[in-house]
Amino acid sequence: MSQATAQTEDDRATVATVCLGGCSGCHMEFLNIDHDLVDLLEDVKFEASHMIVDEKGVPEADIGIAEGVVTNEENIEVAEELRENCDTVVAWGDCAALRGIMSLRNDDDPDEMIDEVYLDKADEESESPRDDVPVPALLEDARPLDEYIDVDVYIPGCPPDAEVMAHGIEALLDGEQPEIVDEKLQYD
Amino acid sequence: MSKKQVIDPVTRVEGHGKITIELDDDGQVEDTQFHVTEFRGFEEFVEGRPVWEMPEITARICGICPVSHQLAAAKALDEIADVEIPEGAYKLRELLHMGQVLQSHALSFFYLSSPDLVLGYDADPEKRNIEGVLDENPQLAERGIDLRSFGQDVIAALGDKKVHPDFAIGGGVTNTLDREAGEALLEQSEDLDTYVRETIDLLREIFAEMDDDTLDYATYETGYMGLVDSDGGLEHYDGDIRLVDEQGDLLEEIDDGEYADIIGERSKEWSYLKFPYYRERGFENGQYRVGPLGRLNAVEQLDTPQANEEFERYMDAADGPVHERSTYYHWARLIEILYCIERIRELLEDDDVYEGIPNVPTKPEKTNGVGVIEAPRGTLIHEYDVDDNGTVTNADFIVATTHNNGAMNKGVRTAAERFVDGPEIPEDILNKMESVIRCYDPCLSCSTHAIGDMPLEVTLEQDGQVLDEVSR
Repeated sequence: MSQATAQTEDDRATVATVCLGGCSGCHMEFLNIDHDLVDLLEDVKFEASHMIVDEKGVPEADIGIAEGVVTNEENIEVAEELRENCDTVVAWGDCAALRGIMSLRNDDDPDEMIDEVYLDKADEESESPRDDVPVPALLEDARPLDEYIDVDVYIPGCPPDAEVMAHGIEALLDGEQPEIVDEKLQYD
Repeated sequence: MSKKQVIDPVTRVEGHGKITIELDDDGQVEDTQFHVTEFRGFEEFVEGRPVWEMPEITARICGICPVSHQLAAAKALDEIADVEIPEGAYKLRELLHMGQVLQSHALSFFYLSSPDLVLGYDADPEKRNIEGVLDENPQLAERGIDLRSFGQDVIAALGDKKVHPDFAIGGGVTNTLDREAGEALLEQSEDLDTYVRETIDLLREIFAEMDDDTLDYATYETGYMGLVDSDGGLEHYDGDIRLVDEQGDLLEEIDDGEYADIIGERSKEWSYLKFPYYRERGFENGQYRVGPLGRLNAVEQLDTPQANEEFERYMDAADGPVHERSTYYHWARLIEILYCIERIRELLEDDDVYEGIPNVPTKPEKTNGVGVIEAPRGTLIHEYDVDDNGTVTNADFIVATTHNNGAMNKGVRTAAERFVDGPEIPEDILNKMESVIRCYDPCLSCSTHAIGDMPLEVTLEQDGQVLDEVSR
């Protein structure tokens, strides 16, 4: 956004980003706006975004952006909180929008996968972190965000180009539906 | 001890660090557990797929160091195809990797750690982030952006994209570097070495003023591991695996394909992160550290002039033959950034990256391949078994953060023993536990790079009963 529309810190628009079952590549690519981040921070306050600010779960925000696929029970909780706390929800990247690479696991049985990794590919005294570990249970399948919550905007790509994301956020803040055209559409 | 664990399902977020401290009957620390809560299953779902897809698929394990996974997979493919890659391809892969290590280290230091170091561990969490550094020391933050950007631009010049580029393949790389792009990168790199050296000076001042509790409580003995070249110099792309003991004395130096002879892996039911250990010393005593601190403790010199000068200053500051302070990961990381910049310049001035042969044809000749590389956070191992058609029948990955699991747990235990006494968790234990873990820049789910306060829960238990819990 231009300097002319810059607002004081207190009435900046708010954005929260979360990472579900993903690689953080979308978040990483977003940082490739480099020095434009400085300008963006004049207009936007990141309430949660694990590369930019202190992470505090899913706070209230004007725009909620999710990277990653829904692959465990905790991802569902976070997705539902995002929907509840944010006015506009964006499915960011191929995993959130379309289910992506992680869905290659959907043909396998989750419990068998865990036992193979932690028992078969480890020494004899190993234990399987399946029943007792304080971790969220894997879902039967990895699925895209809109199978669990309503999604307002989809931005596919692996990852979507940083400029596309910056453009998308700015368009949403201006009350417009962002459109990604031509060379900015990323196919992988 | 009791296996009962308590979790708070509301405040959990992905990759959330969880720690359980178990007390004995006298209220003293008996055991500690640092839990990792993410499972994604790449080792399993790649089975049945053509091994040639692995560089592209396994890059998606991590968006922060995708290039490292891509290169480890590509090196394993070279073995399966039984080819020596051309010299140009070798240098292009190293160039790609240097861009990767540089950008990841710059993210770690400037975006993620500098808020703690510059603003203080006890600064207001609202301010303790890159935005706070931009206010407090804009030059430092802007230089961090420039350094990370340069690493990403090296990657994009080769593989078209900054995150998840497709460049390394079995038998080499897809293409050579465009000469104009190379010249532009050389120009872009001009001031960057100065930026790093001035940042090292700043960090030394910060360390000099740091109180002992902050500087030293994550200081303990382990082994150290990293790849080395034939002269014992620092090597990130290709070399032998060297393991040294707590005094820096050589324990092992082996061909990377023989890693399984010295490294065992143990799974514990309370974490999704396995525990590699040095077999000779067994699970209990076989911890070693990898990443910048581990590498610089394992090597004898750095083969670029400025980085080696800084390396010598760094080693002169050690109390003994090695650095044991986990806090010095940050210093070692900056020295490696300098090394990457110098190495990138050397490679950009080499005609092979512009005119060399990018790849040789491949087909499956062998049924096993191992690829080992020094990822930013430490030694990364990919191993694949394939059938005669090149279909993956088994895959095993040991990622960098996993090697440090034993050491991170040891650090958490050291801090707990020092600060926990009785049934209540001391007020500032979260800060102390967090800074132990953060030194390692862990990629817990390849996505746990929380800035400011790491989401963390600590549970204190005795006989399976929860005595106290704190979280944020």
